[in-house]
Amino acid sequence: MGNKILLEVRGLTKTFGSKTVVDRLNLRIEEGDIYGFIGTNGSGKTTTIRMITGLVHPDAGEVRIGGFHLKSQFKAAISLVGAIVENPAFYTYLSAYDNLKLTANLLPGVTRKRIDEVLEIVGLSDRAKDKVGTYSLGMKQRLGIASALLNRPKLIILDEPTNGLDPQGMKGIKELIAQLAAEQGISFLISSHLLHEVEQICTKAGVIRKGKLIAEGEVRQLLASGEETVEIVTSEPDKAEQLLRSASEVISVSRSQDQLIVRTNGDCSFKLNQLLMTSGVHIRTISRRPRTLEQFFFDITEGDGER
Amino acid sequence: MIRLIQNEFYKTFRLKKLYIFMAILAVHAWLTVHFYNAGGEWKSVILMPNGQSLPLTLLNSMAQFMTVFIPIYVADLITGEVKTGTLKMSLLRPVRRIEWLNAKIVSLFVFMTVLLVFSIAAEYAIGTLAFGWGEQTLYAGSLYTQTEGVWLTLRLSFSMLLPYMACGMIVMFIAVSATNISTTIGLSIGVLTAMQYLNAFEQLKPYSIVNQMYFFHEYAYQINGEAAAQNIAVIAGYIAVFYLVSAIIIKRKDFIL
Repeated sequence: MGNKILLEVRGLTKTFGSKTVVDRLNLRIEEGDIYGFIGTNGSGKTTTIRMITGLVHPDAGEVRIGGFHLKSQFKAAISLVGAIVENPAFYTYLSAYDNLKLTANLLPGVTRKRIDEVLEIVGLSDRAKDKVGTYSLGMKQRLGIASALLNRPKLIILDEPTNGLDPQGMKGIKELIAQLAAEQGISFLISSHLLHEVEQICTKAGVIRKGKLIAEGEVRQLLASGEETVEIVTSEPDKAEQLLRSASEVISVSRSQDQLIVRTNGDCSFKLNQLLMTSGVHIRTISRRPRTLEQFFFDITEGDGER
Repeated sequence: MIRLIQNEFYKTFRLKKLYIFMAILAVHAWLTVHFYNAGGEWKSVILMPNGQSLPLTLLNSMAQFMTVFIPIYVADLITGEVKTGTLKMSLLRPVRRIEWLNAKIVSLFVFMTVLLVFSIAAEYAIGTLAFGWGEQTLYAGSLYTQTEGVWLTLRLSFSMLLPYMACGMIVMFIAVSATNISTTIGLSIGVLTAMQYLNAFEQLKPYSIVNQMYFFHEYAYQINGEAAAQNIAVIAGYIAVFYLVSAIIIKRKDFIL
């Protein structure tokens, strides 16, 4: 497509003491992307985001936002971004409206009308005059997004946006992200360890492990690549299992009565079907199990880290 | 930068602490007057019981309150923002860290000025209510006409902003280095209390910022060129050094919020 690059991170490195938390990380987000930044807790996601937003100084590497160098052109670069890092923080003794007014004061061209607009977008208009101290976590997240929207950013960075939310709150935030991306053309960088969430809303994903980006691409492509799981139900499970185990594409076969779960190293359900058919095995059903991001993640990280 | 300062003012004037501090200063003035009425000079610092002399009489004692109020305010202003993460509301916007720090310093200056102005006004009011306005102002054993007295009160009181500011910069340095509010308050009050002991050494006394906080108005009153310049240089030195160190720390700090 050749979309414009909004965020480009090159060779980003950060060491705390003797521990390298982020290691020569490269990242690229184009206009229109909803980029899921996946990793286990402690994998370096938040530190990367802190470096991208200038809260933490990298030991090496550079960050460019909309072509502006974050270090030398900080104001121009950060003006293109709206961000919630870790948790949305507000003055709890002030109302949501007053908090947004304080933020708007720091942004050239943001009017009172815009404050009303963003409150409307996140559905907080009727609670705008209430003190933030009375807000639930979900409402604070929404207010955080409202604050991030004030300057009409091209890129919104959200660090674990659904952390601590109840299912309804999670659903609300996901819908809001999808709506903003579709209606306002805003790109997103969303860090999360909730893989299902990323799979649902992101168009691209990058996997970080021990500070290194170990996989990156469009979510569809990531799910289409690598291993595949095929589920076969047959009246001759012993014979089928024996045949499948001898096939070169098959990685493993697990069995539960007359159902076989076959892990293969590629798109080969058709071949397995043929193999069993030509050997006279009666197949009741054969289906490909759609690969989830969770499976993909565990495949490439070998399931390490705390979750 | 101006808008950042406006934000700081908005927050400061919404803080309950400011009004509590004002109330404490007013109660202190009222108690001083009350004890004078109850027992005369031997129970109070008041030498000339009239409204126009009270602010200058109580100028020394303002320092003991400022050594507590400044740490509490700065802890909230700096460490509190870092700790609660509200610092991100500014730093994730087109605001440089040094601008953020400068806005905090302006805010601190305004906070101290507001307290000082309030205390002068409250002391004039309480003194006048208790004793009447009076004919003359007494300061350092000399008597002044009403106009001279008011001018002297304003000049000497506002001169105290210099040592208060130096104290504020020391606390600011502690606040940008500390990780939590109680450390900032505890350490600041501890350091300022320890500095009082420098007063015991005659040679070190002029270099003690706490000594300056109590007695700078006396040096300013004397208008002895050389002595005043020396004291101003000491205070300016404190302000410059601690500002510079705080700015370097803020610039280099990684905010793990």
